[in-house]
Amino acid sequence: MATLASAAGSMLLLVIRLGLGGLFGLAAVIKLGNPQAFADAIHAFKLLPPHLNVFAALAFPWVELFVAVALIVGVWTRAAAAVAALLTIGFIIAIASVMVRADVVVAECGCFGDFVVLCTGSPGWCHIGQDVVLIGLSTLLVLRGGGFLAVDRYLLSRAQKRARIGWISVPPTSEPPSDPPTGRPMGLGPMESHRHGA
Amino acid sequence: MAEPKSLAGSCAALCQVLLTDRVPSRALALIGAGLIAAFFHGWIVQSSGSPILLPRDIPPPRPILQSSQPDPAITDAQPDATDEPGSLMPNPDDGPEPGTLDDPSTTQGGSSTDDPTIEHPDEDPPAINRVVEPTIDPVSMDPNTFGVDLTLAQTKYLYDLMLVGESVLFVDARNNKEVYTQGHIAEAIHASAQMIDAGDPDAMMVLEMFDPAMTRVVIYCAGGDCDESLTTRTRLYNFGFETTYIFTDGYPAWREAGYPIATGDRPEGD
Repeated sequence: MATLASAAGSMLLLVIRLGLGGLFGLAAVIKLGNPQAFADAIHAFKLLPPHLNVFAALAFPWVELFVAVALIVGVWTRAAAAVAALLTIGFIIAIASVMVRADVVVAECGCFGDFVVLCTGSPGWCHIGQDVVLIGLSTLLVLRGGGFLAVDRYLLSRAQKRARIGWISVPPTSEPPSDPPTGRPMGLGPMESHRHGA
Repeated sequence: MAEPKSLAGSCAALCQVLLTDRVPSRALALIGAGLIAAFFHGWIVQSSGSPILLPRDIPPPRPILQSSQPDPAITDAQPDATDEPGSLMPNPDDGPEPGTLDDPSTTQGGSSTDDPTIEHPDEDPPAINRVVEPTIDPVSMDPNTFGVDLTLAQTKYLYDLMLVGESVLFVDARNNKEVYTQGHIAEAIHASAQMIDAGDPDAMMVLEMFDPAMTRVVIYCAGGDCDESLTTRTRLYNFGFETTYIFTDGYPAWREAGYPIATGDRPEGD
């Protein structure tokens, strides 16, 4: 039963990972496809000094793209999810600042270019809610890792296997080990050494 | 790992995870990779033929030597009470002497359309100092002295120039199609930055009908601090229009002034 729940949880993590990765990848590709529009959007928020706008218009989507690839492949999942959460927190701060500053009018969020995910129009509570959900999902990934079909998981299991083999130092076999001709074999695990010792 | 039972427990678990599994170093690596990629991308893009532009990068409107003086009939272009007449005067530093380029007697009533020398010069042109006839306007309304931001009176003046046949294009830069349909400056086309990015066929067709070198473009949005005019101006600059102005007070001020407006999704409402 516990295994089944664990499998379901692992599958859920995979879905979250792919969903988040897909969303960030979509945002990144749209922004990189029209960096001028994203530079305009950043300019409209009036948060960054103008000389940083162009660099930010490229830096955000590139970081999003790397995060998306890491999430989809499942490599460095926790770190990628942490960066995704950081980015989203930054977006929330930007949106909240626009909502607070009455003199700043932003017609479009620019979150996904012209593509509408959930919210339309000026940045507002809808966008903040959307980002809070994304932060929640990212945090879950930070806590739980990548789940099924994650490269992280494969690498971890491989490393554990290597470590186990290194600890035992002989390939595991189903046959009882024969007594070596000279003394105790080196590097036996506790169970085997106990058995040999007995 | 034990299940976190409370918010504090969750936070503790999160902190524990963040401090293990090399999360900080890997996160920094991801961010660093993005920044490096952005640096090279920016280097390539900004040295290419179509760099990313910001509103501050767009030069002020380029003077256009019009082939004809406006019709005297447009004397109703009275300046707004809030206008500063001094700002409309030709800058004496821009040219040798006022009135040396054009003789009012020869430019009256479009007679200079025969003059093939009236072309847009390629070299950095001096500002055109035309003698503006008092009968046309009590204030020196020379569009070549207008800055990027237009007042209501300057906008109305350009609107009247359009009505008498000068090459002036009004562009409604508001993103929302519905607000354009509900009301816009008469004869204004709808061409927001998003529409131009998307290659909207209607907007493209109209823009391609105008000669960018000889057309004054007045862009407006909803007034206040709306940014749509700025972004549309960037797009139009990339499109070739170098004489672009922004009517900063936007559509609400135009409507309140009682100037011509139209409804519908086309300039003429057809």
